[in-house]
Amino acid sequence: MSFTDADLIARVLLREDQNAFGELVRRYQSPVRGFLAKMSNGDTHLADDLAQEAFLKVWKKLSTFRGEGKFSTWLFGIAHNEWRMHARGRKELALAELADQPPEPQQGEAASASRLRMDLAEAMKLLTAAERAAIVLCCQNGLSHEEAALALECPLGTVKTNLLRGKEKLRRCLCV
Amino acid sequence: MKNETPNLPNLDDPLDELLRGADEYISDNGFTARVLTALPAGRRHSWRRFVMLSMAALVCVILVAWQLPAAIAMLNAIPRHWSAFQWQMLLTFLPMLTALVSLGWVVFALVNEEE
Repeated sequence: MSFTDADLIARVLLREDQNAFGELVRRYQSPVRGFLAKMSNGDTHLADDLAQEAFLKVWKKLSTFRGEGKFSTWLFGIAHNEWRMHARGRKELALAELADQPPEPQQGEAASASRLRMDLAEAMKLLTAAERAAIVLCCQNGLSHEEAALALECPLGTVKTNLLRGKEKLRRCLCV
Repeated sequence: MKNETPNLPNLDDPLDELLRGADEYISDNGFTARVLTALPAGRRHSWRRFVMLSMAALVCVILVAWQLPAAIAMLNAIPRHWSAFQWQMLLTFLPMLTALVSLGWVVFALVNEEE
C-alpha cells in the first residue's frame, strides 16, 4: 500500500513516526540531491551534506508546512535555502554571479567542434545560479513556474526570464 | 486554486528532451539511513526536559512561598519606619527576586519548547 505525502506528513506530526519520515526521504532524496549537485557544480559530497541538512530541517519544521502547495515545492525551497546559505558563507554566490557570465559564442569550425564536445553538465556550469535553479526545477523536476518562484523565493517574472535566458545559453553552448 | 502556468515539456524541443534525459535517478546508497540516524532525539528528550523544568519551577514556587510572608511584612514596615530604612535591607529581597526571575525563565522555556 502506498501512502500519499499528506498521509506520511500526518504520521510524522502526530507520532513522530521515523519510518514515515524515512519514506518521505526515500521518495525525494533523488530529486533533492540531484538539484543540489547541479547547484554545487557537480560536487556530490557537498550536495549530499546539504541535502541531509535540508531533510533535518524538514523534520524540525514540518509542523510549519501548511499544505497549501505541494510538499516537493516546500522541500525544494528548503534545499535551495541550504545551498544559498552555504554559498553565501563561502562568498560563492557573489563570485558565481560574476564568474558565471558565459563566454561569448566563438566563431568558426574549431569553435563548433569544441561546443559539440561540451556536454550538458559542463554547459550547466556556465549558467548563473538563478538560471540553473530555474532550469533544474522547471525542466527536470516538473515544477510549474509558480511553484519554482515559490521555492526560489523570487517573482514569477524572474523565474520565467531566468528560464528563457538559461535555455538560450544552453542552446548556444550545445548547438541544439 | 491559483491559476498556474502549465509547464508541459515541449516534445519537439531537443533541449527539453536533453534536459529530461539528463535527470537520472540517484540511488539511495544509505542516504536515508544517514538522515534518520542524524535526527534529533525528539519526544524522549522533550519529556526529560519537561520534567527537569517542572522540578525547577516547583523549587522556585516553594522558595517564593517561603519568602513571601517575610517580604510582605518588610514591605509593610517600610512606610512606618522610613527614617530607619537602609538600602541594605533590600538585599533581603534578593532571594525572592532570584526565585521569581527563575520561575519566569522556566515558564518561558516550557512555553517555547521548540528546539
